[in-house]
Amino acid sequence: MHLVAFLHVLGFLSSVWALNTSVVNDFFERNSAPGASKHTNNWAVLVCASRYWFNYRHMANALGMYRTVKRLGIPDSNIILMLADDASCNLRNKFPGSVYANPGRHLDLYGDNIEVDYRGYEVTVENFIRVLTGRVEPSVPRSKRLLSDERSNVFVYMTGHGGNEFLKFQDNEEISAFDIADAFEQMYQKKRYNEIFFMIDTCQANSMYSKFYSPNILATGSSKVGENSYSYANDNDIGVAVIDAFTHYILEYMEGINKTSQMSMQDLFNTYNPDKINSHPGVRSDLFRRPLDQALITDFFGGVAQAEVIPPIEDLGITDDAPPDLGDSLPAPEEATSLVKVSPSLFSHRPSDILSSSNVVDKKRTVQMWGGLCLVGGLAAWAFRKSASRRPNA
Amino acid sequence: MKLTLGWFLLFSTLFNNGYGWSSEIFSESLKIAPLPDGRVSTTFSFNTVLEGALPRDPRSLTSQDASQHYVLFPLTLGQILREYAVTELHLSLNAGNWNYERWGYPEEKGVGTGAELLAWMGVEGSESVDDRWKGLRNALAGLFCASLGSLDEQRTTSPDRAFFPQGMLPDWSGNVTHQLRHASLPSEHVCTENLTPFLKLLPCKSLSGISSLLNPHRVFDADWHGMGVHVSWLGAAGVQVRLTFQSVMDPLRYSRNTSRNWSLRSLFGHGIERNCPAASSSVIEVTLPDSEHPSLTPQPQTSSGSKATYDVLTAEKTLDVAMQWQDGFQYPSILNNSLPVSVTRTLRGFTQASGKLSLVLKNRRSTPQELIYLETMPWFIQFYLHTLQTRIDGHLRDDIVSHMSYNAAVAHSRPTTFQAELRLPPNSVTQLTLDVDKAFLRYTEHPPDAQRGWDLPPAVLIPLNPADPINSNNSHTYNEYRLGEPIYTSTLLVDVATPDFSMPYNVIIFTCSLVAFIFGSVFNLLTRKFVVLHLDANQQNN
Amino acid sequence: MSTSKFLIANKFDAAFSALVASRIAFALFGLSNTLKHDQLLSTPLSSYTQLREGIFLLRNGVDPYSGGTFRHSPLLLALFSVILPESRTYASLVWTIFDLVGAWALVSTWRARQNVQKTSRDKVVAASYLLNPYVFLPTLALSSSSLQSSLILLSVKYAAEGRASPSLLFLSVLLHIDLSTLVLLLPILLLLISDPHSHLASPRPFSANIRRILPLFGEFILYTTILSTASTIIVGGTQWIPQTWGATLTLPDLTPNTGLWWYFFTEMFDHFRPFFLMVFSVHLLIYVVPMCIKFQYDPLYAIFLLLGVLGTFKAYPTLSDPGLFFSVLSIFPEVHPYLRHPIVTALIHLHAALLMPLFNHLWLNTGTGNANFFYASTLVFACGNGAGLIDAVWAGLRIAIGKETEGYVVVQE
Repeated sequence: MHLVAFLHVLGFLSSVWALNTSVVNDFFERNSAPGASKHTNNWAVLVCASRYWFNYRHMANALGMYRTVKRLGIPDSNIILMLADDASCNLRNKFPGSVYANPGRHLDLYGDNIEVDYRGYEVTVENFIRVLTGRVEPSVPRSKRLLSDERSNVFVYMTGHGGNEFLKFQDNEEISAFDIADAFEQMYQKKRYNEIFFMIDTCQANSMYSKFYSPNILATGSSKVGENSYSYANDNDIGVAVIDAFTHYILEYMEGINKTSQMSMQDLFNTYNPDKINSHPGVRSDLFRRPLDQALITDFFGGVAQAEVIPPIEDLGITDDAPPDLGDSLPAPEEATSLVKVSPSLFSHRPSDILSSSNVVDKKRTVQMWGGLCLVGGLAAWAFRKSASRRPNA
Repeated sequence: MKLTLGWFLLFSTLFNNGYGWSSEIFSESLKIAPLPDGRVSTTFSFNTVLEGALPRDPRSLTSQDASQHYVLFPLTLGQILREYAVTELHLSLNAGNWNYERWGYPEEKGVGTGAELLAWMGVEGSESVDDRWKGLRNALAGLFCASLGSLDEQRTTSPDRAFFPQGMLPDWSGNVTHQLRHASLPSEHVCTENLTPFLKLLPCKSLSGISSLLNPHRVFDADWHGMGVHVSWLGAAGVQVRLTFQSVMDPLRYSRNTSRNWSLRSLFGHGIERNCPAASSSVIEVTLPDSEHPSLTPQPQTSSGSKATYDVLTAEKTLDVAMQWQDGFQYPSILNNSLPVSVTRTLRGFTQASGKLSLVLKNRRSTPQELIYLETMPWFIQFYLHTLQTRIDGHLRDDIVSHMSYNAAVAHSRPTTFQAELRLPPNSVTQLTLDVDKAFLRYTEHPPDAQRGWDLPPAVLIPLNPADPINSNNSHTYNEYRLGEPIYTSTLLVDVATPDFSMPYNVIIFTCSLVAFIFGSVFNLLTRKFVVLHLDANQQNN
Repeated sequence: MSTSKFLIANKFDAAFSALVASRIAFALFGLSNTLKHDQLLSTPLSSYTQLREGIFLLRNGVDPYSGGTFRHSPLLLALFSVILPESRTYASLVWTIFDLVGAWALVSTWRARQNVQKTSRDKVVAASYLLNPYVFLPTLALSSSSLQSSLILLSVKYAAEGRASPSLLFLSVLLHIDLSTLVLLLPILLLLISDPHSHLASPRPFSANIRRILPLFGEFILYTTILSTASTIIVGGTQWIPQTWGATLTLPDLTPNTGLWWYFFTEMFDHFRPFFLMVFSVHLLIYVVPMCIKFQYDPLYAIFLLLGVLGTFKAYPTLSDPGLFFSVLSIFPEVHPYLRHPIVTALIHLHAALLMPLFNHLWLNTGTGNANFFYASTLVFACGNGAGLIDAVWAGLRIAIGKETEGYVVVQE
């Protein structure tokens, strides 16, 4: 009897769920091409994992991507930017408040409006994985969380020094390709993404995406196993290399993309030129279920969402209810309370030991000490007397 | 358009009043003062007062908070304050070393390098002050894009003899007491990502009014810059949020011919083009130097003694205040220092195992000077208080330091808090030295760039002035003195011994192998029987 | 023949007296300032500056155990806050007196073992303690580990003389100063109910009634409880327990010393720290019962071997712990011929003893060396201690087999 009822409930719930998903799928089918993305919001996680001034170019890489995704519509609240060091207000920077990505210093990537979510020592492997998987402590503020859901497209960009299946964080620890793959799998299990686009610019970058095993991930890297990735250009005034080649050419291509662009990821990958980049970038698309020429660049880089145009409300014949009456439900203004000026006695401080050789304290201390010593002395005397009265057997 | 906006705001504030919502007043000011060494000190101050408001009673933390409706008062900050029932808050993010000798006292007192967070919170049973402190600093870290989340128990102290609230502390007619929490992070960088949310808290953002001058490319080029968030309760006047930005800029560096002329355009890149409609008052105050008489354009509205004031709301736009000096600049060989006390703090010693903390205090007055001295050190700098020595001209003195209070450090968790009263004789140079030990940190406790060392937070010295009988109704008294302006020493960099980071496994293996070898040999000997063997060609056992 | 012996004895007397006098002079006149920070000679648990700091805090009304750096026992705190004057010379005098008392106790133990009132070797035994550099350098540095050594010797002396109460009292004072001396409890109890004479050459099962240990053990527990109560009274609370005994068990202070624990736990990941702390602490206890069982006929030798174990594997050792081991070796002349590699042990020790201070200086003072240099030299030092311990165990067992004869070799199966 109970089993039958349980099965009925189960059947009802699953049918409701199926109905809902079909309604949702209908929405996406109605307004778009067959290979189009089914996402409703975009997130970006941009990580620069290197510290120190000579890794200026890695910070410029991440900031270049930041500017691009912001320009194409992803708001700051949906971007998690992790910079392991401060290049722009670094004392060595001749141009304070600015980070440039080309030798002519045409475009300031730092600008006037930027939010860096994880900076300095906070950029660690642990924090990165926690951000991706959502397993953060309760005290972590909202701006530092990846609040993506099942319909989010997440763009993950990483740059730094790396090698075969690892990326170095702050020259101190490493994240391996397996760690990232497992993190993405956790995201898949927790339904935290619709599709992920993973881009990495480091030495032997293609090894970093070789271990992924979750569906709907598209990945690209700057160089294959055994190859280094090279920087693009130095700036003589700043004194260090300012951008990496792979990221530079990607950003150059993205200059021509705007929010309404219909260019696809395949077009982006077609612009890869190993001769110019000095390494062989790679693409991994076997886990990605859509054909690449139908995946738009703005699906990942932009903040474009599916929108359905519905007819005006009158045509639907819906009557609106009377707006709720707010007048009486407002809370009463706070009672005026008696205001007391602070006086030291109202402080309940942590017991801070005050050094005082006052008489009372002194006496107490002396009594305690002598008490203890007398006890020990009495014990010693008793012990020696006891042994003296008992002759040792030779 | 501007007019209608102004009327709208006026009506909305009246409207708010009718519903019992507090009215809000926003005022902004910019103080510019040329300094004797050719630099220019600028202080921005943005005040929002929420009239008639009261900080949240910590006893009400268990129940849902009433909705707060703000128009000008920053909502995100207000939400954080109410979430953790914070009565008074001071956050400062500074970069550089404030040079008291050359620049005198700053307008805004908290000039310790790096991040400094100070909060007074009411004590209430259910949620401890420490939990709310943790929530507060993490929320502020998220709001201001600063690493304030690392102001954990290893950096938090409660120095209530040194810091007193600027506003008043209510007790919500229930005898609720307050506790102070203070933490500093001297190695924090300040950059545009801190300024962006700061500006977003202002009603006019950075689009109009005085706040439009805050150009990050210019202000972060300054010799010293610092931003501050100060929340306090003014009693019947309500809750005040004061956002400040101080900087010391160097026109000599920008100019081509050693002229110290400055203008708003040369300092900030542009003048003030529009008024902020939400501001009830918007003034620029320029301090005129006493000895020389530079010219000031445009003509100030009021000019009294050493201060010239411009009312931005009525001034002609674009407002570009400029000061021109007649002669070229000559760097003064002797800077007349009007500060009564100056302090230098250093950490002496060359080993990574121990050192000596040394404080040199100069009293220029001809009367004795009393000071409160606060030292908070991370736990790995361990004090030996019995080695505290005071010397004047090489002679040991024991009447200088008194009323010491000491919270010893707890390894791996609590910092040291040392507070004392110093009494400096007139016209003297006093040297305080204290032996310290540098502890050895665990492998996991070192930061990624461990060879750089650790920054030690600044010491704070607060001169005590004899009470001024006329003006003592709103001052904070400590015994019978009135607290003067605090002096922050510079931060120190301490080099702590590092283990070898590349071989944790090797160390574990080596030590375990040695222990196992000795253990095995001893046990071998203890448990096996001895046998005497006859050495024959046949190798028989006997 | 007797004249030459007399002359040699006189020369030896003269040399001995001169050396002892110069050593006392060293101790009294100011080398301690340079040595007080030496990490080989004093640890955070035995440092003189920490002791002075604790006394200062106590005198000024601050609880020295409220913070985290004072780790001496309250008994030492009380004793020295009344006895110790502020002058460093008097402190050196006190330490030298303790050293002389320790030497006297060692000589008495030797005499009790030989069962005579006076022997010709007394001076050699005293010299082996007083002139051992591992022993007098920590005294110069005013480290409380020298006090510990003296107390161990006193406890052993009274146990050898069969006087239970003083022996157990000193042992429980020792327990308060350093928790790891607990390993000495069982062999001292065994020694109290048997005799200190040398039976190494003729092993036999334990002669006395083992049940007689129980009242003695009870007496020890009583003394420990009373001393703990005294400590609690002195401090005004029980917070001294986690600060003193807890320090040996949880290793909060990772200051380098001559032992094996500090670097191991510096490089240990937090996840495994409690487990390995437990392993290292239990490891010390493992040696107690097997040594006592194997040497049940000569508990004094078991005490000697456990001193070697302590010197090698203690949590916060200084040079005086292995120093004590090597000095006490002098009261067992019967095993000296059977030591297999005394020269190797001595050379390893020479190697380590010269390199340890050098590498410490290179690492911390000049900054030209790495932590690994010093760590490696402590490993060599531990090898030397281990070699000495293993050799002593072998010799103590080998002596029972008899002299070396042609054509036969002694092995273990």
